[in-house]
Amino acid sequence: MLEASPAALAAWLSCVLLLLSPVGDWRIRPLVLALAVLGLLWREGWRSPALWWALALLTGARVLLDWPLADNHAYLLVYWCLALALGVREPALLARNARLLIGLCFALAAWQKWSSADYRNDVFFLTTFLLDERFENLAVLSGLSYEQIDLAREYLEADPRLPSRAFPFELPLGLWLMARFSTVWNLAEQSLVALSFLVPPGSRLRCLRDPILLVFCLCTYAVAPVVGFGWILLAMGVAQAEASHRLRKAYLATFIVLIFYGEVPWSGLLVDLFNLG
Amino acid sequence: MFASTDVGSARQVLLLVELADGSDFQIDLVYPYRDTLERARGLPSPDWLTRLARTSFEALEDSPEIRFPAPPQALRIEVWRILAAENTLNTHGEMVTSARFPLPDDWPRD
Repeated sequence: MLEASPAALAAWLSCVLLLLSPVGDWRIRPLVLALAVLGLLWREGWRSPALWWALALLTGARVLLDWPLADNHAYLLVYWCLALALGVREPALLARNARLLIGLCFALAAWQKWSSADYRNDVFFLTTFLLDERFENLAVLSGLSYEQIDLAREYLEADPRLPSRAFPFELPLGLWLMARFSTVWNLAEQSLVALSFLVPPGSRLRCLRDPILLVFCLCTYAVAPVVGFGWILLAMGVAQAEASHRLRKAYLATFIVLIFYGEVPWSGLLVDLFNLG
Repeated sequence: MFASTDVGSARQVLLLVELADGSDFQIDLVYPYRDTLERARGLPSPDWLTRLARTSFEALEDSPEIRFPAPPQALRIEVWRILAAENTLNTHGEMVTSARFPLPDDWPRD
């Protein structure tokens, strides 16, 4: 696949990501899986616009069926399948759409963060680390015990009609630092990704777009348990990247690293290794 | 994309049956009714709150074991969010929206 065009590699990776991270409920999922297998195994099916129109329809139906609960990357997947349907045989069009999708996606994400007071003041990450079970081991690595996490959840999810009370214990410095770092890092990195993908051709910042996107995926999805989102971004990244072997290898390698992020519970292993919690 | 604490999953929806003696009786929804609650929590528009009320009435009809201490009169739906203070994480609740739905005329229960 390294010899394939960026558009072909992007389409192939998109079929792989639909297999690794199938979407929808029982009405949608079997059809998406069947089409992804068909795309990979049947006469280079990933090059067929018809395949991507069908997948756009199915992923769009999934968003409608889940309304209004679909995650943001569910919408991005629909747009990306549409972009592939329109551009899988027109690499320049696909590259332009991929660049715009990444740029706009990150611009909107960064704008949401800049404009959200409880994001800027670290409250978002503090409460996320405490409440979201997927970050539980990370919270323990920052210095909390599991008992404290349970206490914090009980407090943060108490009956909202109760009068205001004080937080039940003092949060460790490690958690504050982790929240501050996460806030600043995400704001800066996502703003930079948006800028580098949206600046006009010829700008020096534009040369940074691939390394920045790869760093974003390698850092973010080591912690955030939504590797499916990362795979979509990487497939779009490949589509718009220059036709260089080194870049394609970097995108492919990152795609593979994300598979292991999804399968290896590294934060839990660290907690066990250091006997924390 | 990870920007605010005010997301559907962090909100709380209270389903309060108003009784004739002036008190409230809180109910909860389980599968298969809970799906509507989660959608209404994410988008608490009048339309979704009405759907949630309808679903709650269906759930009550299917739960004859629930006995109210006084005759039920209406269902009040309250959607709340929890706000945490900077530096302390001390919380207080803030109501996002609420709506009141009289019991249907053909309500079969005492």
